[in-house]
Amino acid sequence: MLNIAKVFDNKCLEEAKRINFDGYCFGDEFCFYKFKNVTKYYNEIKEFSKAGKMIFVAIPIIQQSHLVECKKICAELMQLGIKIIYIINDLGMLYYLKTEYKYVDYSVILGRLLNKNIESCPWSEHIIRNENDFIKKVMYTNSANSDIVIEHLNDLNVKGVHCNITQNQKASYIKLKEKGYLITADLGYTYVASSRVCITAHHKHIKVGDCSSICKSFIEVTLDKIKNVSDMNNSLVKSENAKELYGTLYVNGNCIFKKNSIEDVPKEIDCVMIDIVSYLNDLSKLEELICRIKSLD
Amino acid sequence: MDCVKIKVPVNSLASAKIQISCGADEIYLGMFSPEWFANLSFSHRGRKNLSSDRDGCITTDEELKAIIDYAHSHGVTVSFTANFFNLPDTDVNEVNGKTLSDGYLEYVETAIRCGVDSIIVATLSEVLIIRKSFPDVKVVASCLFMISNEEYVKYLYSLGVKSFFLPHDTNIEEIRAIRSISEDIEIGVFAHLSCAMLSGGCHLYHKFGEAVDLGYPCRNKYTCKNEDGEVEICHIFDFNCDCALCQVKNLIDAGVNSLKIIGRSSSYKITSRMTKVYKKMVQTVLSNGDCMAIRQEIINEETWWKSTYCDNHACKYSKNGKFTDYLIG
Repeated sequence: MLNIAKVFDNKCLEEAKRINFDGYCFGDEFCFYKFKNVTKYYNEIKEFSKAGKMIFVAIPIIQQSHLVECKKICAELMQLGIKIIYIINDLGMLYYLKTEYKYVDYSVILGRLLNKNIESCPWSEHIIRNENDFIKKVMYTNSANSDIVIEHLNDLNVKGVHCNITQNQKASYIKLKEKGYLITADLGYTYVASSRVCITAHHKHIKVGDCSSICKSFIEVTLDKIKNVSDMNNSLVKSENAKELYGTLYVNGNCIFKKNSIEDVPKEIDCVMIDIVSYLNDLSKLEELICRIKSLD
Repeated sequence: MDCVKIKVPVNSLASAKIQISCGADEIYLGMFSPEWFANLSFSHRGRKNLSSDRDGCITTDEELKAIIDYAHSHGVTVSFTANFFNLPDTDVNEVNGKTLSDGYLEYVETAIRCGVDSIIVATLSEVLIIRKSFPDVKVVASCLFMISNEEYVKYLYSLGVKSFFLPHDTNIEEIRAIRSISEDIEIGVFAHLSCAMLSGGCHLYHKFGEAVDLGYPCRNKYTCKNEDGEVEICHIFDFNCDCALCQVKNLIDAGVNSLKIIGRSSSYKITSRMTKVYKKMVQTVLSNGDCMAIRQEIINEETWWKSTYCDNHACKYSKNGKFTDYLIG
């Protein structure tokens, strides 16, 4: 099992260099502003590649207003002349790369917005509580497990999936690996939802674009009151049952996550990705984590 | 543009009749599949729960046929929601020897047999499955695809999809740019209400047959604790911009073909009022009428509109919306 450092800024890069990671992931899966940080690290990407490290670049959903800029960055990356694995979350960009760079050696893994299973829902067990065993099993299967989809995506250079780490995905990963897919997953936080409005920037009243400093922290969120939808006055009511189902959520940037644990990592995962930013306050934990990942083999 | 459809949800023959009388040009609906699911459905809605007025889907082929016949006899088209989020084909149900994809295909086949005009889908697998078995059926890409740019539209177009619903947070300039790539496509957007999160990337599922009232995840109140221990109780996920009334003209000028009202699980007594309001505004725009006068008339008639939406600046598609500074893109 390989360990990959997700690099967001210079501080992350510095720490990632200090520990001998097997590969590096630049860009971002969910935020265009974080994604375009990749342009600052072309030299490092070349150096790491020369040293035999795996290079990933994550591309988020690209809004029409950012399309031209994103295409320009992709062109620059393609011109680096090294093999990059793109984690793509936008089918439009997947299609664009294939049509524009037919003869370039790159590959793609589907990001977490393009492969799904119900386990990313904090109350997934409750949602499927009354379904039969077959439906429960299917709902816990990763959506990429479809012959018709895999066959189609092969033509678009898709060679794997980037997943959430959740408890019941082992069978799913085995099937995807049988199809030759590379399985990568994020350790620490499981994706739950995201918004085009940056949740953190709004919460802290900081304009998007000036927000990189606040993206290094997580906000812990628990349910206080639910909106009483049957009341036209939009009153709010306490619900201990709902609070229990929501559990604790974590906000970083424009995303909502729940926590996952190294105990949930099945050995079928090829690459574990670690967001260095989550460990900047306690780097000893990061080193301990790398040792534990290596021991999973 | 001489025709802009108001597309509205129905969940029974009675609701279809009311919605059509209020000005619906197209209705959309889904069905339960009890042979497969207890609470879930292929239609992205679950059974009635504590936060719903009623089931979000209809239950029988006969009711579906009756609704379609009624709609068609009034010149109204019918779109069928087959927008499930996960259709793996690796496991076979021992009871019936079929995969869930087989079940999905049968679900779509039933709707086509009953006479629906189009199928609303949510995932790539659904497009591929339907295109393979029903190459001539009109497929509508729902907002769950999260279509954000013209390349996305070109891609789905290459797969035979010509009708696209854009996410609620797409702005007018983006809609215009996407619209401009071909005359041969239809663009739909949300008229009223929406989610705060990216619909297709949101796992805060509700109205899926839950037994506990979850409220609305993006409108609930939460306790938020920063890393420095500071605590604030607030609506941290509430970025809802609910109203598009003042933007109807701009949307139509940008080339939008249909405006969608949401609320399959809500009472049609509420959603039909939205249908009336937006129909009135669309007719005003198409006849070059005075939009601001109609807006005032609507606000006078629906007295809660101003306090709920206008006073809260809950405006969709506006360049100067209350969340503009915090938009990623």
